[in-house]
Amino acid sequence: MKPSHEAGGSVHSYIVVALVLAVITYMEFALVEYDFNFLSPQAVIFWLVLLSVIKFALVVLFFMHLRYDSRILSGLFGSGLVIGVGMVLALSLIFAAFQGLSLAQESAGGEAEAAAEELIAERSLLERFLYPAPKDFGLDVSPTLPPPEIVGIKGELNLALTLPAEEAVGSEAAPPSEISAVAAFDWQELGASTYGNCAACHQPTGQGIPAAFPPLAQNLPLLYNAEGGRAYLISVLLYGLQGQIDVLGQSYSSVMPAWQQLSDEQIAAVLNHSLTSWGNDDLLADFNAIEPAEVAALRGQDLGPQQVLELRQQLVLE
Amino acid sequence: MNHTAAHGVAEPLEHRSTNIPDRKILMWAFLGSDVMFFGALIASYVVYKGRSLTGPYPAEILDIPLTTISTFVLLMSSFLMVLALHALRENDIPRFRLWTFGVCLFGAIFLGFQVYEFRAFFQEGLSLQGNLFGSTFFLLTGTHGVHVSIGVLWLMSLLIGSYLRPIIRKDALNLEIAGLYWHFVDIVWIVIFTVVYLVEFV
Ligand code: HEC
Repeated sequence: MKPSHEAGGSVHSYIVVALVLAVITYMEFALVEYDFNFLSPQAVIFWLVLLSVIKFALVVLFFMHLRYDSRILSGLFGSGLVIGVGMVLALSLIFAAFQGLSLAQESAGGEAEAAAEELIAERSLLERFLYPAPKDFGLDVSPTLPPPEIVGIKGELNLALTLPAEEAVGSEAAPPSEISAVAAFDWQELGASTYGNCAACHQPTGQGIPAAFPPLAQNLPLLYNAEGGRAYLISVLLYGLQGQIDVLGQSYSSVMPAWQQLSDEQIAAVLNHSLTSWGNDDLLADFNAIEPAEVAALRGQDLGPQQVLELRQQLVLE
Repeated sequence: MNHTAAHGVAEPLEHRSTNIPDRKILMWAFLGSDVMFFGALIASYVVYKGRSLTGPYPAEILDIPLTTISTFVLLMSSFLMVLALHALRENDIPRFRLWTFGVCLFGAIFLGFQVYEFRAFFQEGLSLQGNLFGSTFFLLTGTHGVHVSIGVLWLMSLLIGSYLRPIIRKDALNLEIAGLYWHFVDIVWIVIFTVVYLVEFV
């Protein structure tokens, strides 16, 4: 009754395998749920991967019987497995390597862009995979230009141009003292570099992406010209925006992140930059650059993104 | 290797130079290709991991205790699956039915957990089009859920069939093949559980 390919599995061995599987699942749970101070995060990940590989192998070898079955079957499944795992690894590698490159191109302007490209081109593929953020980037940028700086959005977006900690603090601390000394607020370059934070969504052209990210081109002048529009624009940056809005005949219902972590100068500069780029300046009734002090005045209100939406609804747009 | 004597007519093509039933080879070939399919979905999850620009973020909503339980349920259904096959081969029909019913039940419980989880996530604001996490998460776990559902329906049809027609030897092969599929769904979940859930909380 029992052909050879059915041999090898006894109820006893099944029970043992099932118990091991249960214990391993509990161990995985414990590794994540409880603190094991003596294990580094890398060690925990190592153990998690190892344990799940063991589980995987146990089920395949014993429950699916591959251990006792023909090699042909192992070959069929194994080749799929090798290709599948290879694909996951290859894609992760490629993405890690090229995301830094494309973001650097989008966000840095002029000289900084060239410097970034050069820097990134110099690094080997493996280096880029291991250290997606070039550690010393920003040092090569000419001193007059504030280093392009990309602030992680809620800490999620790990971009290529993050500066070493002291550098970042330095660059943020320096401009205010300079600016208070100089009468006119010199926002042009700061605005262009800060816009690197926005380009991923609103696009380098300011056109946005239909139905996902509203355009800033043509749209901002309408808001700015309306009464209260100035304060609204600053509030959007300080507190974000959430809910349905209509922009140039298209409706958007999404979330604009808050940018509280930017300095007053940066917020004022990026707004001035957006208001005067992409042909927007021709649409402005009259333009007085937004000053850092205006941003500072609106900080600390603790509005929510929905309240900012209400501000927008109160604007009378032409 | 004398089973053709008893039921040779039922399986005229079973003897091959490989000595493996064709349908079993076919199932393994399918599983090999399905690995690649899931590989693509897992790759897209991994590649977009941590790149959502807006919430909800995985660490805010994934629930490890709950998912550990549902993982355990699915693993145990695999255990019942081997018991069911073993019982059928031993001609122990009542046990075969009991265990197969158990597999279906555990599979359904797992799906219940998943429906509950999806609903909860939905209420937290996670959606297929809201952020990258939502898109890749729902695509991956949803595809897996569809696999589980197909497995439950398949095993249920075998179970019901065992009441409608006399059980023949070929049924053991049918059950074995359905079982391979079922275990496969289980190992895919083992990977998802680690990659999507556990690693998030390290
Ligand atoms: C994560 C993508 C994203 C980033 C990055 C982003 N925005 Fe937005 N922004 C949006 C979305 C989405 C909306 C629309 C929100 C809605 O639908 O309620 C929006 C709305 C706005 C608005 C209001 C438009 C209107 O019609 O009321 C302004 C102004 C704005 N963004 C400026 C900026 C600036 C300046 C930056 C860079 C500091 C920036 N955004 C970065 C996604 C983004």
